[in-house]
Amino acid sequence: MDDRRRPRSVYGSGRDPDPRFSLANERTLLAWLRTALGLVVTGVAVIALTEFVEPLWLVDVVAGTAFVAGATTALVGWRQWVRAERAMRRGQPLPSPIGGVVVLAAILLLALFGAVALLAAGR
Amino acid sequence: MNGAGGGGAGGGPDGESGGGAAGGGAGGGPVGEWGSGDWPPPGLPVERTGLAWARTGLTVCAVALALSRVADLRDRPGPAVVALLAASVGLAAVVVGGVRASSRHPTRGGGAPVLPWTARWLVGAVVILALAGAWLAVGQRWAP
Repeated sequence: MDDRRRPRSVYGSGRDPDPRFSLANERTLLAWLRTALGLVVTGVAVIALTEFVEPLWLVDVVAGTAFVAGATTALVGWRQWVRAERAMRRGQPLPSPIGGVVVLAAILLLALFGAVALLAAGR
Repeated sequence: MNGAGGGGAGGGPDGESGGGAAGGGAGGGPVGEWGSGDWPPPGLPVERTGLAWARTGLTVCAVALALSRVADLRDRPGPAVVALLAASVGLAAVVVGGVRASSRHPTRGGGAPVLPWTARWLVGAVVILALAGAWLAVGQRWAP
């Protein structure tokens, strides 16, 4: 049968795993995207509060960090889906969840910037 | 169909991977066409995946509308329009995810479920939303 499923880098090799595992992998991708959206909406909230917080450049840094982290998280989630699906198709061990470290680092950085902004606003 | 709901609920959140021991076949419980006697039946993971699509698509819409509103309040039509385009992708994801879940068989020939085209579009929409937000944040003070 002519297999046209895309992306070919995933479906082009190996054999189909248990469909439930593929569905679980798909839900994990969606969870990554929701996490990314949480970071994006954090940036939106920071922008909306711009009028009340000083200094303004620090607000931009916090919002910018949130947006960059959101975009990175979405791309990392996609990469994780590709790696996991490919590993399951080939019967290999699942890849290490290194992507989670990226998100955790981004959130910690965001919290640090936020704390600095609050301290600066309180002075 | 009888007993499918109760068995699925008992399977817990990890039921799709660990419930094989409970199935067996003594009771003659419902077994899906993917089934090899595993429990819960395959309809439940499909349903959960459909709901995950709906959650994610609606979240994209909500974030996009919030970003669009903030951009509109600051007289920045560019990011607002981009956010609304991302919202349309979110809506498409809700529809495609719902249709796929209601078909209860998102596979071709019983193989692995094919990732819907909306998945890549959704990843792109989230990245675009983040870029639109950065555009709004940077542009409001640093633009000429």
